[in-house]
Amino acid sequence: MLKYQRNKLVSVDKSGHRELKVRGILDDDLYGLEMEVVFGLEELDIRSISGKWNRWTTPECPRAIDRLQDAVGFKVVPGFRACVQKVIGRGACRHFANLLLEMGHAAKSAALVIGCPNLAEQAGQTQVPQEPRQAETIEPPREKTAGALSENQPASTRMVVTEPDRWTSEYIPEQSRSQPNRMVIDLHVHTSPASPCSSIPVEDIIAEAKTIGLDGIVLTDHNFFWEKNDLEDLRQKFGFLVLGGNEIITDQGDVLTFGLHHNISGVIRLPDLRAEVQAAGGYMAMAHPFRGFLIFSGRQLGMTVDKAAERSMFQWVDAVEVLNGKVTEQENEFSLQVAARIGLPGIAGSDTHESSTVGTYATEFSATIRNESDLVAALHSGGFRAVRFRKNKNT
Amino acid sequence: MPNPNLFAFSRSRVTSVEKLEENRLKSVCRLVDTLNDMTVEILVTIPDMEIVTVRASIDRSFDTNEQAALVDLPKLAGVRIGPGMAKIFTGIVSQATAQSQLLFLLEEACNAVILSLTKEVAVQVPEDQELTAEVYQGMVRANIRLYNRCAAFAPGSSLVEGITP
Repeated sequence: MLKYQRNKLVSVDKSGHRELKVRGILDDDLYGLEMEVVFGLEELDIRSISGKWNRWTTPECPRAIDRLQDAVGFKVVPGFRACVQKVIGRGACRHFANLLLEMGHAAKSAALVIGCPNLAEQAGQTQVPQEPRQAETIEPPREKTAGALSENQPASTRMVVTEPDRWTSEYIPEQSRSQPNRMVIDLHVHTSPASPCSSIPVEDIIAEAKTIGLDGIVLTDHNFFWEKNDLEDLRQKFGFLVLGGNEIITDQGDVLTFGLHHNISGVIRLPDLRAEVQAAGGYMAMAHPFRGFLIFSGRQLGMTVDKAAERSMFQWVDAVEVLNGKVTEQENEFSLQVAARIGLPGIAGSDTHESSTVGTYATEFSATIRNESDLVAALHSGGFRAVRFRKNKNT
Repeated sequence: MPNPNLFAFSRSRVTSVEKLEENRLKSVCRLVDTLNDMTVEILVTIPDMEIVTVRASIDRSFDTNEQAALVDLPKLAGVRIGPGMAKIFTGIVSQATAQSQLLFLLEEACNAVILSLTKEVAVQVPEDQELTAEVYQGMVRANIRLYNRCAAFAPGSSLVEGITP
């Protein structure tokens, strides 16, 4: 049964002024839109752009049309896609951005054809003459059933079986904060410029964390390695516990690591990251495992806790981030239930990218933590719980 | 009659999503233009939104990078369709594949799966009725990530009136 169809048509004409006039149409079961864009032939720069809606979904979609002018001056060079997605996709509409990318690529191809008229003929010659060349189909590896934890996993993972209500703590009252041998640490913090998505310098985050009464923070900038000396300087300067961690992109989603002493760039397979963290004696937790995966376009996908618990990604981590400041209450609740079902401990962090949300969630440890070794040891011991900390969380 | 020499390039791209069985979707994206004719097909499980298989084929192309991408794309089986998927795709495949049209076809096929779910919601709205701003405001409150996602949900829009991120 056909559920959805989208058609795009783009045509490119040479114009008399060393320009390419590109017309594009996008039409699908939800949206209909058209654009006309003039590119310079040599630079492939956008000289003029216009667009119109034929069909749209919300009463405010027409606001996107005026914002299309922000693309004038863009060039079809490396980085074009990122620019279009950011400026047009977020500033105007992602469907216009999608069509503009199509048109930009078509303009580039047209310039190739104009510069090398035999190219289209060559394309025909390089085709596979007999049957279309086809890539092999590969079934993804289904390593182990969730719950059947690997012998290679750290003892903390195998031992900890915790009741679900262990994590459903309320806000920590002021009077019970900062008690001896008990520390509350935000395990998931981003800063600028280490994380491109953050706009707040580390100094501002630390000042705010101190103000609201946190005992420490862990800097988990994306695929970024904080030097030990820099962290020590921050600790000395502010008289506050600042530790280093990482948020690493894997093929199964983002993972928080603690005790890993080198940077990992790009995307790594989750089992490979597991091997690296184990070799370092570190600790890893699946970050916001269901962010954006429970509801698509307002439609509940019908994911159940049992089904989610079967996901292979949980076999490769020590813990689950069950409270994250950047996800919905429903997504946090779901993570809590899945972690409980699997028997993995839960950690918490704000995932803050700005100072006003540091500490929305944090992890409470029943031990004194002075450095990274203490942190990793405390995590492996299982002596911690995920808590709500800051009261003004508004998501 | 216009001079056909002025015509430089033409392209069409068709993407469709079919329901194969209760928990399985097939999404196919085919590109045909002056230089290329290629197709990517994925099978996706619901509700996991996991790509189970990837098939890619090239009938016509001059670009050797596209041929190289053919063997790279099946590596993406196992990735979940959803937030951050494009970054994961480009991180797993080679740099040349990351720039290929075949990968863009795969992304289009994935986006079509998401849009097929959007359509399921859209068809539930009665034909003679448009959703009010209040309904959209409720959606934004329930999922604050919608705020400032595009011009329709940007500050100044009635859809986010009274909402502070």
